[in-house]
Formats: sequence, C-alpha cells, structure tokens
Amino acid sequence: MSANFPRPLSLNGELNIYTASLWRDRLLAEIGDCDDIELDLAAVSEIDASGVQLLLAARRHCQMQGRRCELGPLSAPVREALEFCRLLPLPPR
Amino acid sequence: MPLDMDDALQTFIIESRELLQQMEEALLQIELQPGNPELINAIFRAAHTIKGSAGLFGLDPIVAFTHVAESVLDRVRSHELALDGPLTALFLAVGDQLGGMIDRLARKVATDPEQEAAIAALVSRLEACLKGKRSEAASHPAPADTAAVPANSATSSPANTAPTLAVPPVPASAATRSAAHWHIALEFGPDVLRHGMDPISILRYLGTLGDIRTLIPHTDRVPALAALDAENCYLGFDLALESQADAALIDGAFDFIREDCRIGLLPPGADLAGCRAYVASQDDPAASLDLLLECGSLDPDTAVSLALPCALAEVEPAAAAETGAVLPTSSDITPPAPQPATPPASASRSASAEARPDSPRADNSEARLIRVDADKLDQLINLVGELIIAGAGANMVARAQHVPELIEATALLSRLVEDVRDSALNLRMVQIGATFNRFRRVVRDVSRELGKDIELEIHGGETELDKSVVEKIGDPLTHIVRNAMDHGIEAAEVRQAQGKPARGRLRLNAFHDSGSIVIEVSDDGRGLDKARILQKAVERGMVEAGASLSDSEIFSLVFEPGFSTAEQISKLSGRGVGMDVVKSNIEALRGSVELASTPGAGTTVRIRLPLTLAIIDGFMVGVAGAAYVVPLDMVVECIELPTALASGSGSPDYLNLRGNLLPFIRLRDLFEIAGPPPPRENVVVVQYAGQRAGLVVDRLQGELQTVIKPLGKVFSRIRGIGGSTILGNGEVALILDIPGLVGQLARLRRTLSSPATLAAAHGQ
Repeated sequence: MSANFPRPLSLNGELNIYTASLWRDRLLAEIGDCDDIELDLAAVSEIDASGVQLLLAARRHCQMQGRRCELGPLSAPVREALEFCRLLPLPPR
Repeated sequence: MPLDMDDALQTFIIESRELLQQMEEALLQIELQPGNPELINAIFRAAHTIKGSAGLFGLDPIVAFTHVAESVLDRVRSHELALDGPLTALFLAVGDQLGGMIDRLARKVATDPEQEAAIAALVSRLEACLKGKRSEAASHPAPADTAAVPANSATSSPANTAPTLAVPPVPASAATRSAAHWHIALEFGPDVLRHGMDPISILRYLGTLGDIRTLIPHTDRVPALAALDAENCYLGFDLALESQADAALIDGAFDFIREDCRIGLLPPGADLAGCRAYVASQDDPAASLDLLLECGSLDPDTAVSLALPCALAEVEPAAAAETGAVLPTSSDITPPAPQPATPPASASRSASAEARPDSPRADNSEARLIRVDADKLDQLINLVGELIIAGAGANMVARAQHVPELIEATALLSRLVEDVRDSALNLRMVQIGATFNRFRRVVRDVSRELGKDIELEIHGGETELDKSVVEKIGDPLTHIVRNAMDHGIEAAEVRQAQGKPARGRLRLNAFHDSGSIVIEVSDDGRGLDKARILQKAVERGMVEAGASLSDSEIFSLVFEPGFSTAEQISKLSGRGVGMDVVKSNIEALRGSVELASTPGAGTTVRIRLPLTLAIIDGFMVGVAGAAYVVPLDMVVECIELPTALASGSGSPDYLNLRGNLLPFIRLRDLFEIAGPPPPRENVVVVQYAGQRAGLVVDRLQGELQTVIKPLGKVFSRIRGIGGSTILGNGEVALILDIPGLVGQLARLRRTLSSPATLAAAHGQ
C-alpha cells in the first residue's frame, strides 16, 4: 500500500566515534515514528565501525515499528566501508 | 547406506540443475561481456561443485566428464585460453549434456551408446582444447577454435582419440581437515571503540596480510536506535583469510584489542583435533560450525564429524542443509553416530574435500538462502488460512460480547495474523526474472535456427509472483515467444526493405497492476493481419461471413482451438496447436490473455495473472441471507443504486456514473434469489483489465481476509463464481468471479453503447 516515497534523512560530515553519540541523538529525534525513511549519506565524509552500526541501529529501529529504512545516496567512503564489511545491501534484519 | 541417501541424491539433482542453469546464464552473459572474471568464476564454480558433489555419490561418469570441462575452465581462469564464441558454444553443449546426464540419473535411466558417443565426442573436443594449449604458446587462442569447429564427432578431433573417462580425482592429503586459509572469528567487546580502535581498520590491516576471501558480518547484537550506546561496539566478523604471512604476524594484528575481544583463530590445514578445539572455544559451537562451513573453511564431512560429539542437537537441520552444495541432510548425519571419524570411501572424500575451498558463497546473500520443501510451505499457508478463519470467529464473538478490552485484543490479533499471512505468502513469492532469463537461451537458439537476428530485452524481472504460478507460466510463455520469433518478426531482408532495423526486438515485461501481475511479450514484427484472420475464421466456420467484429474480438480468434494462419507450417510453431492451449493454461491459473497489434509495427501478448492462488483481501457483500466476496483489489467504489433503477421495476441494467455508462448485474437476478429487494440497494463498482462494471447487492458488509477454497468439480461450470470461503461464524460465502462477470458485461456493453441508449441513461 505504501506508494509514498520514503522521507529522506540526511547525515553529513564525519560519522565516526567522535560524532556517533551526537548523530545517534539527532537521528532519534528526527526519525519520527510512522513514515518510511531513506538515509541520505551522500555528504558523509568519513565513516567507521561506530557509524556503520549506527546505520544498522536506525534500520532496526524502523523495522521494529514495521516501517522501512533504506539507504539512499551514498558517498564514496560510505559505499566503500559498507562494501568492505559485506553490508551492501544491508542484511534484511 | 542410510535410507536418506535417496533424499540427498534428490537434493543433488535439484541443485545440479540450478547450477547448470546458472552456468548457462553466465555463458550467455559472457557473449556480451567477454572475459568478465566474475562470470568465468561462476561457470567454473558450477562445474566444480557438480563434480565435487557427484563424487560424494560415486557418480563416476559425471565426475569424469565435469573434470575435463573443469580443467579447460581452469585454463580459462588463468587466461591461458580465451572463452570466445566457439568455446562458449562448446560449453553450452557440455551444459546440455550434463543436464541430460542428470535427467537420466533422476529418471534412473541408463546411458545408451548414442549418448555415450556424444559424451565421448564432447570430452575429446574439450581435451583438444587442453592439448592444443600445451603445445602452443599461451598467447594463441586458436586451439579453442579448432576444437569447437568440428561439429559432431570424435574422429574430427585430431588431438585425441579415446576419451579418458577414468580421470582420477585429485587425492586430498588425508590428515588435513580445514581449508588452506586462516579462519578468523572476531567478536568485538563494547569498549573497543572507546579505546580508539576501529574494527574496520583492523580488518583492513588483515586485508594487507593476504586476501580476505569471505567476510561475514555479525550484526545481530546491534540494538535499535533507542537502546544504542553509540560508543559501544556491537559488531563481530568471521572471515576467511588467505595469507602467506606467518602465525605470529596474523596473531599480532590483534595485539591492541586482545583484552577487549573474543578472538578465534583456525590456522590453515588444521587437523581434526585443531578444528575441534577451535569450535569448542567458541561461545556457540553450533553457530561457529555454520560459519566455518559458510566461509568454506571446513568441508562438510569434517563438520559432520565435529558436530557429532559436540553439539548435534544444536545444529539446525536447515542450517546444515544450507551449507554445502550437496551435503547429506542432518537426518543423514544421525544414523551412523557411533563412528564419527570413519573416513568414507576415499574417492568421495577427496572429491568433497576438493569441492569445499572453492565453493564458498561468492556473496553473502546467497548463503542466506534456505532450501525448504514446497509442501511445508503449503502446509504453513493452509494453517495461516485456518488461523484467519479462526481469528475472524474470535472477532465476531468479541463484538457480540461488547467487551472493549476483548475487542481491542482481537483487533490486535487480527492485525498480527494479517502480517503473518503477508509474510507467509511472501515466502512463496519469487521473482519472475529467473523465468525470463531462461528465454535468453531460447531466443539465442531459435534465432539461429530461423536465421534471424533477434535481440531480447527484459524488463521488470524483479516483479514477484507466487511460485506455483511461475512454474506453470513457463510453457505458455515459451510458446508465445517462439510464435513471436517465428511469425511475428520478419526476416532481415524484409525488415530492411520496410525501413526497420535488421535486428528484430523481442521484449519481455512484467509489472503489478491492481492485484494482478501482467506479463507482456512484445515484438516489433509485422503485426497481425486482421483481414486474414477474419477470412480464415470465416473459412473454418468460426464466424459468419459479413459479421462485424471489433479488433480485440478478431485477435481473440487466434486463441480458438484449431486456428492457424501461418501459410507455411514451420518446425517451431504454426501447427494450429498451441495458442488455444496457451489460453486454457492461463485460464486454469485464473488469468486471462489478450492481444494488441499494429500492422507493420508489432504485436503484444498481454497475460494477466492473479498474484496468489491462496489468500486474498476480500470485500463482503450480502444479498438476502447469503454473503458473497469480491476481491478487494478489484473494487473501485460503492454507490447507492438510484431508486429509479430499483430491482423488480423493469428498469435497464445500466446507469450513468458521472457521465459514463456503467452496465451492472443484479446479483439477485443472477443467482435467482427469491424475495423482495430491500428499499435501498447498493452498487459495488468493480474493475478488471481496464473495464468497469457494477454489481447490485443488498448490503455492504466490509472488508475481510479471504482464504480461497476451491469449489468442487461439480460446480466448476457455474458462471460467476470463482471459489468459496469460510466465514468466522462457520458459514460459507461464495467468491465472485469478477473477470468472468466483467467480461460478460463488456460484451453486453458493446451492444449498448449506441448514442440512443446513452441518452436514455442520461435521462434517468
């Protein structure tokens, strides 16, 4: 039924251990509780394991509420890191 | 031999067919992308896995045959041979022959001498590739050509005579149990990130020591956002590292994280004791065994002997069945329990040991697949059906009791049941892409046979539909595709003369449309000749001379039994059998088929099929005491029937719906229900295949989930009824056959759509 486009949520700059807590709080505030989400990561300049697990946690958050959370545009570092971890596409759960 | 060997053999047959299918796809693909290493690897992997698995069952002819093929592929992988046109053709033939061998195995038929000769011929052609290679320089791809050009016999191959079918599988060293790479299991502790270490950097460092063959991320410890401490680490990985580095160097990679993490290391070629120690050191031995298998770090036999003493009960059958190409199912494992370390016959051991290292899944998505018996799925869906009916019953009771808490609880329950239903049905959904891809080979072969240049375009391959539907749609589609290539697309000269590109185009397309899946087969050929179809139909007495028929009526004559306009009967199609069979096959799936055609520009065959055959969302209506169900996807709107048109007043059966003529059927009349109609009647407007119609009913009773129960054979000829369902209170409701009813009304409408009747409708 959900013909609606997912709502984009943009992250930018560094997504690493220095900023992970900040981003986690911002995501939690913005992720809402009813619509589908598309994470726009085109402007993320750096990502590490904490960033990767933050993305997984956001996705899990949505899935527990029965909505979708997909990856949108990815910057090269993000794509490279996810590919390296064999997490592209993200695992279903 | 345990009883289950037969089951395992079945699995081998199924998986080999799948592998051959993949091999064929890759071979066809490689014609477009010559030298693509991924495709070459896929081809190699298929041959290799079949060989290894066949060895397990002692199927020596298959082992010997694939061994030669594999050797040639090995040369291709090492760039000593180019996989060019002739060699591709040779391998397509090899694939077909292997398919034949597997088929004979499945049917338990012996190989006859003719087939033996065909196999021998292929073997010698393959061996000629190898021979040619050895004698010539690596830069010279010619041997492939010379090998493949001689069309059909062993004698034409100069290099080799008798096929050496007795190629022994390479013996594996008996003591070595694990693969020739490091297996590393890392479970990072919560504080790793805080201590300034990034797990990904550690993995990257490992990558500099060698080649990370497989990497499996563990993400199940990652919590949802609200519970996440972003500075804690929740990740883990299992990886296969092929490296020449010494143990100290590899171990040294973990110096900075040793205190925070759980690290498991299995060195290359570890013996059984080493493997056992490693598995025992892991938190969850059964899971770690699965991961070892998934990374190809163990062969299944070793895994079995490891599993027996330590954690047999924990090895899930599904997980065990998933691990190998063809691995005895866990039920196989159980009987010979007392003798875990007994090595099986040496041939099968070496074959399987050899099969392991290369067959780890290239990508993780593949490793996540579980093979499940279709019957089990059917049983699950049946149970879900019962659950829906029981849930509806509970709902009704709750409403009757007027207890808000109970109503709320049952509402929640039915929402969950609905989710369960959707995911259960989803299990059966498969993408149509695999079916479409089979046509690449069909198109390639048929276009060669016909001497036409035809290109196949595939769209919407990701569209999903029920597996049972997919299985049954293959044959009708093949017929339509062949027909389009044979009769639709013209010869190149004719096309050029008409200013069309010489290369014909055939297009397969699939998409979802209001509860149905639509599959289109289009060509850019000559189109259907209406005059000729009509003439033929008149000749055969199917239509009266001088009858005026609409385009779609003329086209639909093609689907009548015994109809064929082809002037030349060709080998492929055009014998007048087929299109009517196609139509009845599709109708048996509750689908429909239609044709659209433009002279000189092409023809499109459009097949419309229901998404699923089991459970639908329904809309319940009532007439007198009976309940009927309309598939919800087909309901457009509901309106009140204008009093002027009330049943029994002798008024016409159509109304003016916002300026459009809407024909309708009074269910009361259709089913000859006695008794006076209620003062207010309703019209349910339904739509199918672009046509709308109304159904006049007494009451609108709302949505419900409907489990379709087929009607018995006795009722199969009743018009207007597609099936039945059981309501929550145990009563039976009939499911209306909307396609049938709409079709009936559409015919009626054509006779109605003169201006006079429309004016009369406006006057209402």
